[in-house]
Amino acid sequence: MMPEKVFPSGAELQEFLLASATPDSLILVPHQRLARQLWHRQRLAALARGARAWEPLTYRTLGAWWQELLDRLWLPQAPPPPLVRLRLWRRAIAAAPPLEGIAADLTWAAALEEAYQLLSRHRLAALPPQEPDSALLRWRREVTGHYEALLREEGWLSPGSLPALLLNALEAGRLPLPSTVSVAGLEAPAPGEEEFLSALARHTRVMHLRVRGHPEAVREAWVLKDMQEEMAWVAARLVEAAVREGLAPHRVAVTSPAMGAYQEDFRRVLRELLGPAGGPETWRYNFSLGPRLTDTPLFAAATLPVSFFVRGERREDLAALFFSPLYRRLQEARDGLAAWDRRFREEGPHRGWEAFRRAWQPQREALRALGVLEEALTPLAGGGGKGADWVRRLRHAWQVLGFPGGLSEPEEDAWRHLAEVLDELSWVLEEEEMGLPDFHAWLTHAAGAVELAGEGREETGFQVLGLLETRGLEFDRVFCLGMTSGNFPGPPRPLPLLSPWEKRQVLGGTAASQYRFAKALFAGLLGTAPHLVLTRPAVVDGEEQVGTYLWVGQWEPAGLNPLSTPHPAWLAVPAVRAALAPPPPPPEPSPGPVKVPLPAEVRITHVQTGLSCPCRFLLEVLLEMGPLPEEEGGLGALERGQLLHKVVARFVRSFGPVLEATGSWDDDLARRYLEEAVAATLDPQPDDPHLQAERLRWLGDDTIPGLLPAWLELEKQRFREGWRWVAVEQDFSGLAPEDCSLSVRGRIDRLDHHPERGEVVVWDYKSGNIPTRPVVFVRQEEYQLPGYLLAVRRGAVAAPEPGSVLTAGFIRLKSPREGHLGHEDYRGTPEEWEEVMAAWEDRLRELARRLEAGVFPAQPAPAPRGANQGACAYCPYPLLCGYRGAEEEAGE
Amino acid sequence: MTSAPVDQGARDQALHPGRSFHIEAPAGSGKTAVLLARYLGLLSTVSDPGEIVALTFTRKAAGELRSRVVQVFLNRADPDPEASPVKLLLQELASRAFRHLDRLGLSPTEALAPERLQILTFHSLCSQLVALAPQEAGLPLEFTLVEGAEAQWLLEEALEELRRRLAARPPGDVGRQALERRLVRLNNNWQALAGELASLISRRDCLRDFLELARLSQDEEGYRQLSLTRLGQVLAPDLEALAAAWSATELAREWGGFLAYLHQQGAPLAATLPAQAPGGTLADLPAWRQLAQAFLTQKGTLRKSLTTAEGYPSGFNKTPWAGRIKALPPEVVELLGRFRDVPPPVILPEEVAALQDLVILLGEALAVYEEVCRRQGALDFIALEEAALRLLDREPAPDLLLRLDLRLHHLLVDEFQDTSLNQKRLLCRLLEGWAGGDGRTLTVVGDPKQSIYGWREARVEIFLEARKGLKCEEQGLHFPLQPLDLTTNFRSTRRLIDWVNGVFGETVLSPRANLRQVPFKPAHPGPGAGDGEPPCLMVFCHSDKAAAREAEARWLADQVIRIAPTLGPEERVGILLFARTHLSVYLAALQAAGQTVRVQEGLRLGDSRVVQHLHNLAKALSHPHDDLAWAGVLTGPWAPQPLAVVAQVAQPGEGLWPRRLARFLEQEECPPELVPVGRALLAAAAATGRLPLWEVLRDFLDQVAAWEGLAAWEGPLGVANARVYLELLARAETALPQATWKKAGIFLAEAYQPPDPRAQASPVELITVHGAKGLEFDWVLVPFLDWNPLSGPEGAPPFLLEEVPGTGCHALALARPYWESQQSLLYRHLLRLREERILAEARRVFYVAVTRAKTRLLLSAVLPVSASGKESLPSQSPLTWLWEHYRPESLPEGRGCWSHPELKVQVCSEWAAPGGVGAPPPEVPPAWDFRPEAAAYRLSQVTHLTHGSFPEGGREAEEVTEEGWPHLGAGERGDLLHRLLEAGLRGEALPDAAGVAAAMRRRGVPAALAPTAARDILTEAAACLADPFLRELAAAADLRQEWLLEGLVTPGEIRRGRPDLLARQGDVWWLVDFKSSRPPAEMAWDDFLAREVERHRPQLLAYRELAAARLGLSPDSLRPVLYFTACQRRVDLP
Ligand code: SF4
Repeated sequence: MMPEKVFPSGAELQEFLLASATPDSLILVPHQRLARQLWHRQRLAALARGARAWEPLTYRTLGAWWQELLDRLWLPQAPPPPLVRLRLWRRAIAAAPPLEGIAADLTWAAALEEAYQLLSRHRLAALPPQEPDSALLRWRREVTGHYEALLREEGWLSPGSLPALLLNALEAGRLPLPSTVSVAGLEAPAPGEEEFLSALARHTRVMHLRVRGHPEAVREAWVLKDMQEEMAWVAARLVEAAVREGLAPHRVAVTSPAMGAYQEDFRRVLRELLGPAGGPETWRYNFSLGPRLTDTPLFAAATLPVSFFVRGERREDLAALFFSPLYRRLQEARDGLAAWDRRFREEGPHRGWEAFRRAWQPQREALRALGVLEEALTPLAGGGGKGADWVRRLRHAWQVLGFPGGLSEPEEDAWRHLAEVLDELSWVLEEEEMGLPDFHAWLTHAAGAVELAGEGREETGFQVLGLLETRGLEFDRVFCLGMTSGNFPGPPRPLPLLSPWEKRQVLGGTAASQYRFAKALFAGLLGTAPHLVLTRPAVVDGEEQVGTYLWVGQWEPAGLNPLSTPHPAWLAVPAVRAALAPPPPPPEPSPGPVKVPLPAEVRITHVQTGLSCPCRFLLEVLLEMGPLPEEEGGLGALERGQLLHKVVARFVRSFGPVLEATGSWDDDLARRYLEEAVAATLDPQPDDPHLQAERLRWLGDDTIPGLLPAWLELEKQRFREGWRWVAVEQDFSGLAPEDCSLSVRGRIDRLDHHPERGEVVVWDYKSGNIPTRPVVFVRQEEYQLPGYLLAVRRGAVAAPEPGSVLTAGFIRLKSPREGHLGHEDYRGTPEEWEEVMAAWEDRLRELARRLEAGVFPAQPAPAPRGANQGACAYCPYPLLCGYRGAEEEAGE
Repeated sequence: MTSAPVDQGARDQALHPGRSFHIEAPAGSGKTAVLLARYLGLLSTVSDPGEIVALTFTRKAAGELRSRVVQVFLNRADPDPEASPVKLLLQELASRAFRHLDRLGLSPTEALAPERLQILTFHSLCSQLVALAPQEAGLPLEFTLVEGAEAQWLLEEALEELRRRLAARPPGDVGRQALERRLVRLNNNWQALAGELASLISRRDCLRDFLELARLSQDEEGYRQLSLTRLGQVLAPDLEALAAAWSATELAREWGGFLAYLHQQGAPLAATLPAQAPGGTLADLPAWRQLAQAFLTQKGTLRKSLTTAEGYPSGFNKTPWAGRIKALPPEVVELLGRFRDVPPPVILPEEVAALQDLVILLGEALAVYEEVCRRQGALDFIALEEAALRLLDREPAPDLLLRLDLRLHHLLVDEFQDTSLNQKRLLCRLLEGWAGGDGRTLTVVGDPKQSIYGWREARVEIFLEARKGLKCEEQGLHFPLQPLDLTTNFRSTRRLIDWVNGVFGETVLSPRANLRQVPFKPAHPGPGAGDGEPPCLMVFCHSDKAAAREAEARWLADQVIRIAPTLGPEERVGILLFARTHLSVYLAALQAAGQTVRVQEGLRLGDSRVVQHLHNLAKALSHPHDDLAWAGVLTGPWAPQPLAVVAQVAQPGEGLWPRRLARFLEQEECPPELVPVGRALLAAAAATGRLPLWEVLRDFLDQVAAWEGLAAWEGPLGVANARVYLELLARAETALPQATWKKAGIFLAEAYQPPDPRAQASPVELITVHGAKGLEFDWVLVPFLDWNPLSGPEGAPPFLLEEVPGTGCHALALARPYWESQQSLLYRHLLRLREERILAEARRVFYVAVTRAKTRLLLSAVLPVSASGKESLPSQSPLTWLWEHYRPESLPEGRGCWSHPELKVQVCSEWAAPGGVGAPPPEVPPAWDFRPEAAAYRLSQVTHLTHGSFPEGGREAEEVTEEGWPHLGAGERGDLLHRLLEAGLRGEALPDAAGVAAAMRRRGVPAALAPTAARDILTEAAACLADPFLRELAAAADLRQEWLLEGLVTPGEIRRGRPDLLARQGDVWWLVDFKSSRPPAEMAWDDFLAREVERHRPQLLAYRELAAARLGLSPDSLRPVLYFTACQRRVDLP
């Protein structure tokens, strides 16, 4: 039996160590943080007694000490580093017969390694099955056999043999031993560890030191509504402890058995309450653990050249590369690359390295960055290589693209670790053939194991740390978050690669062993401070929680919503102050005239915009501020309409002369011309499925009736009635009412003439909805047809027969369904059209006056009503114009 | 002393540990207490608490039950004499269980630890099972359960990927063609198709045979057959019912005679009518159609006159045949009406083709979705359930449960009316091998009237069918259950209970109301229940529906502000909404009246203008080329600029917006208040991609003091919204800004605004009926009784996927393509099934709403009236159902009362806005002044004093990596040499080359190179150790190697260092630092040494200071030396 000393608190344990340890004694600590706290205390004591120099005591974790001892033995075999072990596991999986659902990937390799380590620690690895094995267990044993053979083959030391090896060396007197060894806070040693320590005790003085705090240390236990309130409350109590009770912040700690679930959110809470962790001189708080390397923006940016290919060569990954601030060479060409991205969003291609390269050939000269990009990425495109080759290619890409440029301090840290990971991968995978996805998996796996240091300093500011890390530490006050029964003790680990019997032997495999471990941890926690505050949320994800049963005292309710209840700690936060004392709404910014150069002439479609909302006219027409095209997949309604216009115009233009020449309608011929028009319109992008769908929609097949053949029928009908196409796509310009500074230009889709009746109709094609008759004649909110009519009337477009009866209308081209297709001329009388034209002119004058005055109010006409968005439908400017009417009524 | 409730017998029986029960427990009947009592009772019969498993459907229910168990255990020893009999019983049961476990030798505190009680959700059980055996369950080794917005994100990712993949396929590819054809049917709208696929994937558990088809078949026939089978299944119940009802009519009995008469009269109708009465199969449908057209009008009513126009002989109306036709019973007319205008019962080739296209696409989409999930280790609930079922197919439940340390003996299932088909399957697997009476028990509890989760695949039929026992077809098991009915409602007053019994029992939930209705059983008031007040109905009649709605909202607000001051401390008011449709109107009225209410999941987060601006800001930062987003930032609440300013910045010019803005900030016309905002914005843009996006946004908001602007726009709620948005952005963080923004957009679409901070303490809650299930309120207000459950935002859904009643199968029908005007036969019938299902569930939603009330129930509705003063009642709505019950001849003028049961009614067209002022803003005390903490000292490392940079990771800075050792960093080589010298100076023999080679391999030197490299390094070490200088030092009296020291350099600065070697020879202390570096090829040794000495001088001097201080000597008595191992030369520091 080793001598054991139990302390009621971490403080007493530490005092004992500082008082009794000598420079030649060794203190085994459960984690380095305890060593650092002890060194800190030693320094403070030295400073206090005016010492100029001193020898810090020697602390090691058991694992580090074993490694040191092993180094001293200069054995002919070394234990394999972690990535080498994974590489061997992967080979072992590949060598074993396959098992359904299991790939030779890193996840399984890592799981096997974890199981192997666990079994080795508990001396179970070499045991034969204690009960009939499942297929998975049989497979594990087989793969493990291969793994061990590979270890031997490559001359590595089997990790399982380490404790025995050291034990032998110890017994043989080959290990240098300190005068005393104090083992602090080692709560659940594995059998091998225990045996070594017992043997050690026969050779030198070994003492177990434990902390067993008293439940009375729990001075408060609170239940808060949810995790958010819990964190806000604890954060406020931290400030209170410092400001009201005068505790030094670094003497106050926050921990939790579920730190993983709290850490990120709590960091945000402290960030909001106290600002960033601190600067070089003063600190507000410290998180012992930072993000994993893989979670940093630097890693995401660094691996873009690889992930671009691995994720399927998508445009957005390339764009991410363009806009990353870490690629210096691309930054310099940002404007050009932005234009590239804009265009590719609209037109594609949307994926495929080769397709991108083809598509940017014409601009390569103009945009040197594209050449640089090719130089960087081409070596990564396709093919295979050894792991080390991929490392070289990635580094080459970085070099060519100027990655990473200047870095901030935390970025430096991440970058240094990434460089180390690559160095290691480079030699571990020196001989491994692999594709890029595989390399990406290795890189992500290796980087995922790197945990960066958190922000802050351990000796200043509030300390936030994991529960395991509190073992042996001491503070003035400790807050422990998340003390629910679900978190503490933790649930048994699933360990699918262990048999039920094995699970019962290892730590964490059963509820009972989790309980034992948690009990010891809790006893330690009770000793970390004379004043412990336990907290827990009442509800998580809608599920009511129960307090951990390791604490049997009363839980009191508490609450803090900083936005509802003024709390002096939270009132320093601008958001909170603003919410509790909101200022009155500010006056709307005074509109004032907008100075923009006015065009002398506008397109008739823009007149429509101007008349339906002047503000939209300013933004869309005068400032040409279009939204960034979203790559939504598919053709937008506008684009589809334009294509259809093209087809129909092309057809009328080519078939019209034939009709005129022959004087009769030949169905086959018409169909042929139609198909040619379709082909000519779509041919530049024959591969696009949306365009092919459009072709099918237009022309139809056995089961889908085509839109255009149905339209053709209608046109044939009209032809037979005596109508003739007399003009197609007629441009006009200079159309301006009297006393109006604004003139209009436009294009008339088609002009039909009925010689016998002396009638002329101006047609506009519409592939969407068309306005109703009252909209045209009563509300007069159709702003294109009157313009076209005026253009014909004023001779801006050559009319076939001056003095004909003039009307206008839409040709609906929505679908072959009834009501979706046809010629809508509104049956307007000449008088009605006269009125509409006069009103249009008046409005145009009004618009011109406004433009000159620089007045562009957000006045949609028609205004939104209920579910009908009126003129605001599909308008991209609601944030800019600030129009609020649309919000008022919710649809019935 | 209170008397026992009428159903006490059933409550007592439910405790019997050896029997299995099916317990029907209506609203307010204390269902949880019964379940709890049974659970506690069973605990004293088992040898381990793990033998009892209680399953719930929601985390909320599991948490509540677990928490109550724990509560009872904690309080068991200390019973309150005043406590209710139920409470006393529970405490007694708990004490018994405690004693029982103690007797068994189990530590009761440990055995009854909350997490060891198996009270868990179905999904939690599934995930525990599959985590044990992921490979057997066909899952990746590590997975995370995803739900809500995260699941939506995965789905969108997958569909985007699908589109790209299909687009990359050659034009003849089946999937690609299916895409094109499906697009055409949807008017070439990819978004519509993506929505359709997403919706099907999230219900894929209903589509087994369709997906199987997609996997197997490329040919149309399979699809045609499947469609036909489903059509037959869908129509069969109606056709069979019709055939049966028809055959009972007089006309049917004399059909032959009727036809003969028509023939005789030469009536054209004779040729179209079937010779025999049709039967109940699909093939009979055309014949029924003929009959329907002959006898019914277009509206589906019996023809009043049967004339030659319809093919009857003249004078037919006067014949007895006409009388027989007119005497057809309503049931026949109704059923016949369903087939009057149906298309022929064939599946048209285009329908088959369309179905095939969709199923092929679905199969492809699912494959991509599964791949995306696998890659990300994500699992949705359907995948989880199916994995658990797969696992239970492979391994018997008892074995598997044993792996969880569970020996299942008793199973309790709460809210059993919400069971889905998959969950029932799972339950059946758990019961495998059980037999009634073998000591193992199953108890299911629920209320079919509260089954309102059909959209989550809950099947109330499962509850109803299990009344006498659970039938597991696949296992061939019929596990008997004893039905028990709880009938006491402890929650509500007598008046309210009577009212619900009357209105719901006779009308709303009566079997007449709907074929799919669940049976209604009346409830009894609990002992000691008060009489209470009858419910009230307020009807707002107006020709302008919107005006009436506003009046209703004002009335609602008025009621609430009258009630609020009368409430006791624990009393609460619930405003329950059937749908969120008019939520903003009600909320606006309440706010205008100064009444704060807690709103749960009411308003969308994205509807907040503040949030729209924040999301736009995030977009601008992540998309430097989005001019519009950048322009929008200038109008945000942080310093909104007029359009004139936006226009000035936007003037077409060179470069992206950030550059233009930077230029504008320098110009004179830039408004001064824009300058700090603009600068902060540019700084934020520069930080984007380096910091998480949420952090960039927060820094910006803090820096430009934006919070005041946010609060000015939307008050405290705006601030709360902004904070929630920042959290959402943090959750969406992907480390790549554009992807983060996109993901945040998906999250935003799913997010709701948090409760208004001002309403934190309000006793009034505004909540949907679904959200209120399981809650109770003293006052319940249910507005919008005119809610029509069938009125959806969109027209006909693009597809219908409905369960065919009684078959367990689902039928899938596609809406007509946009160029057609008629829906297919299958679609129409599925639509009817869907509507029936929705209506049946809506009636139960109404039941849940009214049964939340403890004492008072106020209902209100809007009833539009036409110009002629006629009310237009919606075809279906709670108000309509009340109408059906009371059948009022007219509405009362002003106040009135409807009876049987009593309902007070008031009719209004207007309501004045209630006066009211909101609570004054809280007093805001001064903030505490927290100061960051200064460190007690600064700690520095001596090694950092070396001049010049050096490669990472090495203890010693070395410039040259030698040829031949490409894998060993210079630092590590130095480290090895140090270790060898240390051993040698200690007097130990140098190790052999194999030991050194092994150490090198661990550092990455390949096995083939390590021996040579090891020999090299050993040679160098040996040469050094042979150097007389070092030999002498090794023999020194006082020798300290790697001596860790710390000391004070200046006040407040501590330095730490570890000199390699200190040795005392006589009065001289040598301080040696080993350097293993060597000069680059072009440099001479002497030059190199001179340079190195300069580089390392500060370091060495610092060691000297430290060591001297520690030894209590003057620094001059130490002689610092650099020793270069490669050339074995020592350089004394002058
Ligand atoms: S949203 Fe409406 S008001 Fe605003 S600019 Fe667009 S059209 Fe005008």
